[in-house]
Amino acid sequence: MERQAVTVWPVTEMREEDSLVSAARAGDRAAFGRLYDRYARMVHGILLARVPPHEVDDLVQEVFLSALRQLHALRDTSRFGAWLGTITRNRANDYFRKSIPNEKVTEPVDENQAESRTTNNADEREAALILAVVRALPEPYREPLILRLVEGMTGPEIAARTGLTHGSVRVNLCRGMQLLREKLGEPGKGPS
Amino acid sequence: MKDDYLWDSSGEPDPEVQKLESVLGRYRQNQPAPEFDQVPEIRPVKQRRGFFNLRWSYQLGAVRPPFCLP
Repeated sequence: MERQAVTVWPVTEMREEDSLVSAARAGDRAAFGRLYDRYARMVHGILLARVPPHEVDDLVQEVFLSALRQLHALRDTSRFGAWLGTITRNRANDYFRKSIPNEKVTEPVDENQAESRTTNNADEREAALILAVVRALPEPYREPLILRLVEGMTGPEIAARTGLTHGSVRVNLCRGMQLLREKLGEPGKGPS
Repeated sequence: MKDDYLWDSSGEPDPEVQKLESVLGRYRQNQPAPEFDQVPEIRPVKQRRGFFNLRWSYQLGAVRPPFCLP
């Protein structure tokens, strides 16, 4: 995935965020709480693209506590989102180093396995199946699609939070959606 | 543009994207912020320069000039 620092986002929003990061670095925990409110969906989405869903909530909290401990090391406050994204991806990688390798989401989707993890509820089963298909997509598409379809973030918001360009997010969203449509069109995978 | 709805939820709604949003929305983040006030204060560790370090710096400074001469 192409990563660049230039992202169009309202200037007031960026200034406010810089001051929040600076305040949090100076020990203002309320400011850090507001950063959590802004970035929790991004962290949750990045993790959901990589680790089993039932592990995500705990890992979100771990990522933010880790970020709080490391915040003094962040030199450029305007890169907080990209920095937090890196911490999140590293935490997801650590999860797999410490757990069973078979659970890695980049492996082909086993529909029976995905189904067995859900209850008999048809909606839950359908959601688990579709999520498993999204998680089996190539990495550049998986993350923006989950941030858009699961977390409800818009493309410009994804770009601003992750530090990616509008162009790369838009391309990855469109190509990912096209691929997802193809996969869901295959027998037994489509939404009812 | 056809992908406008996917991009920023503007334009004509795409029924397929709407359906996916509705189905996958159950996984959305909904945890409140942890009690960050309760986390103990963390201070970066600074290396202290002890007496022996200072003494070694002084001695190294004293012997350095002869080696530095051309």
